[in-house]
Amino acid sequence: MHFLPPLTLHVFRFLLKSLPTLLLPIWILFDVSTAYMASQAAQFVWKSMKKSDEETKNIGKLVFNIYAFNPITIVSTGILSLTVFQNFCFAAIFLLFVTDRPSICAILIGSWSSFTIYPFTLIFCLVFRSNGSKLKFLSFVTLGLISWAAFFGLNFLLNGGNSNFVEPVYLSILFFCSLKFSSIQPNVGIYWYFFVQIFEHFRSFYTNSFVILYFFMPFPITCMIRKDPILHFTIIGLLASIFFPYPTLNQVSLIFAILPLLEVYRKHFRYTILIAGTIVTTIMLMPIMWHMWMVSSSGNANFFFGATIVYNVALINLVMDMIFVYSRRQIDLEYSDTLKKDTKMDFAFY
Amino acid sequence: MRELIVLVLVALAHGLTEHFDEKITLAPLSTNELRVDFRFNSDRNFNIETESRDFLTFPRIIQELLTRYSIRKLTVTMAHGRWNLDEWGVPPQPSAPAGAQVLAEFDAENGEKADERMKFLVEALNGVLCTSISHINVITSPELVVLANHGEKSKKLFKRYGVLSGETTCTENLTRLRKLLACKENGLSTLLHPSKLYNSLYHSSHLVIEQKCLKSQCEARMEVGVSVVMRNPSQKSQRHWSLADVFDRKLGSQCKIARSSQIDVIGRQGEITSTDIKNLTAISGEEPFEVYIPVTEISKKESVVKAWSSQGGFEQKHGVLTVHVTNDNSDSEIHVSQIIPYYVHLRYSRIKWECDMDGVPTIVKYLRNSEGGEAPTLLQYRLNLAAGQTCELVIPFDKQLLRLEQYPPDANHGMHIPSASVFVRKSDSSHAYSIHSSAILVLLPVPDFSMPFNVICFVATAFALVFGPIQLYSTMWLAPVVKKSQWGRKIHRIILLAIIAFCLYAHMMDINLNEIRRGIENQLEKLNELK
Repeated sequence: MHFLPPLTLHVFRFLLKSLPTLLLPIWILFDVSTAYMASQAAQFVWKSMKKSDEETKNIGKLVFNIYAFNPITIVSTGILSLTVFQNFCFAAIFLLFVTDRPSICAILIGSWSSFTIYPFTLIFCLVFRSNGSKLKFLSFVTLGLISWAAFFGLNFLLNGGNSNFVEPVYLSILFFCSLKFSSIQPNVGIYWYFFVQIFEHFRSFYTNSFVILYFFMPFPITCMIRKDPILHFTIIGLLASIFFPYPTLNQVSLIFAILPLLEVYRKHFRYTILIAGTIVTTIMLMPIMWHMWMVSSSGNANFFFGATIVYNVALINLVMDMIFVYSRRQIDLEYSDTLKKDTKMDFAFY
Repeated sequence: MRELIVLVLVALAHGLTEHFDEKITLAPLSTNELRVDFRFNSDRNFNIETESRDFLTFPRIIQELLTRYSIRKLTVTMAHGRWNLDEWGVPPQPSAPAGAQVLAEFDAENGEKADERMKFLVEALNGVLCTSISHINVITSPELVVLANHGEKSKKLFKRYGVLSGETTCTENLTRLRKLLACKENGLSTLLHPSKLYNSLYHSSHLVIEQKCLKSQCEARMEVGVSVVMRNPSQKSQRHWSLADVFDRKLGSQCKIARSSQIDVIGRQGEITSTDIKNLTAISGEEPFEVYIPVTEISKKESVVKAWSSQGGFEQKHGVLTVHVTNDNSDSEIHVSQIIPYYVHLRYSRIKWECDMDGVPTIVKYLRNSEGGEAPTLLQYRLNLAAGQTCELVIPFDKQLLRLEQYPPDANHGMHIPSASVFVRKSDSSHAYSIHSSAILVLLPVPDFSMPFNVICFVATAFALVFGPIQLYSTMWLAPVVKKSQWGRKIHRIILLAIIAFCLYAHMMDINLNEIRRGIENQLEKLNELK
């Protein structure tokens, strides 16, 4: 139930008409190239951190394997899910980001946002590539907006000069529109059951506050995490995947694949096992709950909702852990001379 | 009577003529089933320029409807029960699906105005017919013929069609229909007695109104019809039906102002015995008036095009609707119209026709896609079927999870997909009629209705989980505090662990914790007493 602009319609109509047999190969190609790009990016990061050649090779292999042999990615490719293309965009943006090509990155972010506006928050990552100059960052934002506008114009032309696609594609998730989340089908996100259950007169209030919260979050996060572009990218990407209006399980696969790049923080993560266990359990439970609700009717909607909300809370906890881990590491760096290795510490906010 | 004559004279001076005809057709369908058709026709010729506000027999409210909404033709049907096409032949025209059906042709400036006008018209109909069809979605505009009496094509007019399968028809509707008749208290309308008409196998009633104007001379028409198939009240004794048996009433009066009022009885071979009761003196006599209604089997059964719908799929998410159409023994042109309500989403690419014999004939299709919130989709197909050919329209669909307030009060009952309307036109003759398939009930996925607050709390908590730490870490500084002595905390933990261990032990050994507590209390009291 995710609405896409007319361009997608034209591309896939062409694909379905002319090369229906090539659909699966195209998907597999995109999936493998996503994994390849992610591994290239990982190797580049490791190289820039001056690690040894063998380590660089290993991290590339690890990232490739985590993405390519993730059962969820394999299944998503098998069912020709569109998230494969989203992950491809994501990986391309990550590669361009780490290899320091911010303008192409901005263009790519802008064009991806023309399909669904949620990934536009990734533009905040380019703060790290503008060398502290506000003007440069603003020019990246403008570049992103221009490419968004170009794609919008293309869609407008393809739609025969009719702008009726604007409402379902963009406004259905944006401010002050009567259609927000009007037809919401069960998915793994956190919005669906909420907007099924919410009272009609509160609907616009909650949509607006959720959307404002989502687009506001990058500001404090960018202010907070100033020294680590990779961690910042991971956090923003994970938030974008969680708060996507109609997410799938495949949405976070790429983020999981680039998690090994946060190796320096590994010892500080507090809830690793808890989060990993929760995610695996809920992913296993989701089809069971779905079957109980939809097919055998031995359960109700709350069963499936329970699994999805716990899954999302686990992802949110992962984000929070990442933010904690960053502060923790800053302490380590700051007090590295006074702290012994086995000093036990409590933490407090001041 | 004198006043009436005066009125007629006045009316004639204005170029106004009105007629009222009434008729009952009684047709035995089998040895214990009888079909009864009431038809009340009313028409009114008037000059639109010199139109007076005088109404003789034509109901004023219908004239106001016609003028106010500039209706050319409007058909409203209400029915319950299923018409048995195999046994009973062609259903009464205009054919009625289970529930309510509205088909309107009217003038309007543009499409939007037409939709708006239709909404008001439906509300007005609610008032006239005492129905509750205001949530019917009548914004589908059919391209092909839906009902046989709406066969003429006219490009300027707007057509709107809607079916509400859940609507029940009952006594109030019949009362309101009777109110529209010129003779409410005498004549054939006295036989419209609800106790028998609703205690039947099939019941349908309809109202057809139309208005045609040629320059300033206009003709307004109204037809009120009630069709019933009832069981023989005396099934064992093979005696004849009597009017008292059929209607639970006796006919004791005549409608003086009717142009004609007659009772037709159809016999075994299809012969019609007509009794004109207008000038019959026997009616007001002591002896109850009777007509001879034979108990027979129809010897020559008409062959009819048959249509029925079935549902496939076993889960609450996906399903398949199949409309079967079987042709009779001569070639015919068939128009199939299926309304798909908004709570079911079609898989357009998988909709297909499957036919036996020599494959799928050429099909002309029209799709009226649903735009926006709750508009239904209309699928229409035109195809020519060979004699005896069966075709199936397979429509796969996804059932939608709706918002809480969109569900009816009994959501687990399911919701209806209206029956398909099948219009049949014989290619050799001008014989045309419409039939309806059965409506199907789909089980939609339902949310849990009992706990909206819990869900709102859970999701809002998840959002708070995001917002809280971000706010905390961005406004405050995380600083290390070197730990002091851990003894206090360790002892506290040990005590807690001990309590948990004891509780577990008590649980495993089936010791009642309350008893232990009471035991402790007793011990303490004893300690107090010792003092």
